[in-house]
Amino acid sequence: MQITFWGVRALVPSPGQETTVTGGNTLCITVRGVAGETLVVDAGTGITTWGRSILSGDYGRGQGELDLFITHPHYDHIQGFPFFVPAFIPGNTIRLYGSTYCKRTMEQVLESQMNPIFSPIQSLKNLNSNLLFPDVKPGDTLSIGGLAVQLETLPHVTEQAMGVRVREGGKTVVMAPDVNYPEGVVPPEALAFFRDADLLVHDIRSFVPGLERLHSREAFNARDAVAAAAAAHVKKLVLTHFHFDSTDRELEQLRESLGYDHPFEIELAREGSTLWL
Amino acid sequence: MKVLFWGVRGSIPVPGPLTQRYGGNTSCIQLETGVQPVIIFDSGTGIRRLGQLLAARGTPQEIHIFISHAHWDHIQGLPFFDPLYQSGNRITFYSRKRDEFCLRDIIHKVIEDPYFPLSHEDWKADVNFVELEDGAGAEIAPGLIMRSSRLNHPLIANAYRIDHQGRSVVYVTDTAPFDHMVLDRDFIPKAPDLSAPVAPEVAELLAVMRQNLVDLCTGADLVIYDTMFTEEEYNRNPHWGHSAASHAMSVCTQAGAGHLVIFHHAPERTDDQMDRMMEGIIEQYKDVDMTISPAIEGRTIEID
Repeated sequence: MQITFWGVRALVPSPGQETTVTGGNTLCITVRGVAGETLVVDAGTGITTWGRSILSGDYGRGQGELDLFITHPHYDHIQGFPFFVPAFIPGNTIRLYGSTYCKRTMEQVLESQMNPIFSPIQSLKNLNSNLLFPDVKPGDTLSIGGLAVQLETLPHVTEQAMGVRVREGGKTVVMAPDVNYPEGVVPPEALAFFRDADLLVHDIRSFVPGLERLHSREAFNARDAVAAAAAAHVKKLVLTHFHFDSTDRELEQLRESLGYDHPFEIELAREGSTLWL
Repeated sequence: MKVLFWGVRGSIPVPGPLTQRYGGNTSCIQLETGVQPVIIFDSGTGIRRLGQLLAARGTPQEIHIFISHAHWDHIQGLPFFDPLYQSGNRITFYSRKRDEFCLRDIIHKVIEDPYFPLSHEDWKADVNFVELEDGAGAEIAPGLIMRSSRLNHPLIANAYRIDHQGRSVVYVTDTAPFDHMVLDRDFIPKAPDLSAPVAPEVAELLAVMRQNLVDLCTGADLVIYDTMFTEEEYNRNPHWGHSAASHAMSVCTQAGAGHLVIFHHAPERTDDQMDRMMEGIIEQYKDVDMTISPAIEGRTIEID
């Protein structure tokens, strides 16, 4: 399996010189199986970069298929979708998952993001590809070629978000890019979902209430992520969902501050990087 | 009078090494007149850093934000505009009036569940909304005059002019030229045939819009104009609502403006490609009596 990070930022894209190493695009992760199966987690602005990169293949010819899991309908998870070029090419099929975590359906959330007031595209109907919204629930499993996918609900402040667990052969990656534990305690369901993963991609933030969610960088301390990884015996933890103001230097220092004597590797997700399992 | 460019990119913010020089933040421009209020055109992601600077000045502040239109790239920075969250500040939004909806409702929707973890109820500043009739103007402070004019862009956009002590700046974005079609509610799926004749009532409306814009720009020191497209790109997609340099030059030369700023750069256009585009534009119009320069994030233009 190849896991590629196309966007690692929280809340809003952050262009600028100080974020070029870690990256300024908002959340998007792709998982590619050995047979070419493609699974995408989240459609922040990082999905636009990935979208352009695949046009030379099937997706440019209208012969592409992909499964897109939106973990939560906050903007940083959906804002790239109206700019995702494969969605405009007739013949491509895109299955979108995530309705459980919207107060309405995923289709309604994406449709109203494209409301004529906000978007010249005006409606999902004006995207020429074939969009499907399969009905999946937490706990469901599905297969994408040789990828076995399991979905689960994870806590996310006062709401909930989706976790995505993918297994190919003997290797497992779990993606929890937007998750917070309000009491600072990782619930047993989350630990069970993360258990023994070869790779856990986890939100760097600890829970912070109210306005501080935007302004407090202290929450971006990785404490909860490291605790969750340790308790679940994962082999490697990759932190993501960085504050838009965190510079590359600050993130390096943060990584240093976590130390190296954990029973698992810890890395910061970097836009453009690929990990192999 | 100083113009500060906080965000100059169109459509979507573009982080990354290829857009470092011109900048990746979406539309936000500040006008410093030396007097209150703070004047801001649009609130793309560029407003975030401006907001940090303003918030550091403390309260109370009077801030006027002129919204050209509510496409995402012009309002997406608002939830991150720190002065909204400071009590004591007074923030006024201006936009063109539409009967079917009002800016207050739109902005409240932008900042609410399910899209964002906070809502307008988290704002601490005193916020109000002014909806402008077509072509309306106002004296927003003694000697500080604002005028507006309708632009040719879906769901309608407004251009704004500010005059103060004999100096003037006009903000013209987003707009298609006034040649072939009126862009309003309808979604146009394919590029129309540009050689087809234009219906008389459409041609008349376009002519009126164009003349109003020329009047707005008459004698202006600086015109910041949506010139996202190259000429070829415009011809391929005239229905997308943006202009090329030739359209901007046509309006600005007729209006006798002093300086045209190329603005609202296409998201896929790298810094090197922008350099070449600017070289081509400057070469093409070298014999025209007009300064032409690019909008660059972080740049300040002084008007004396």
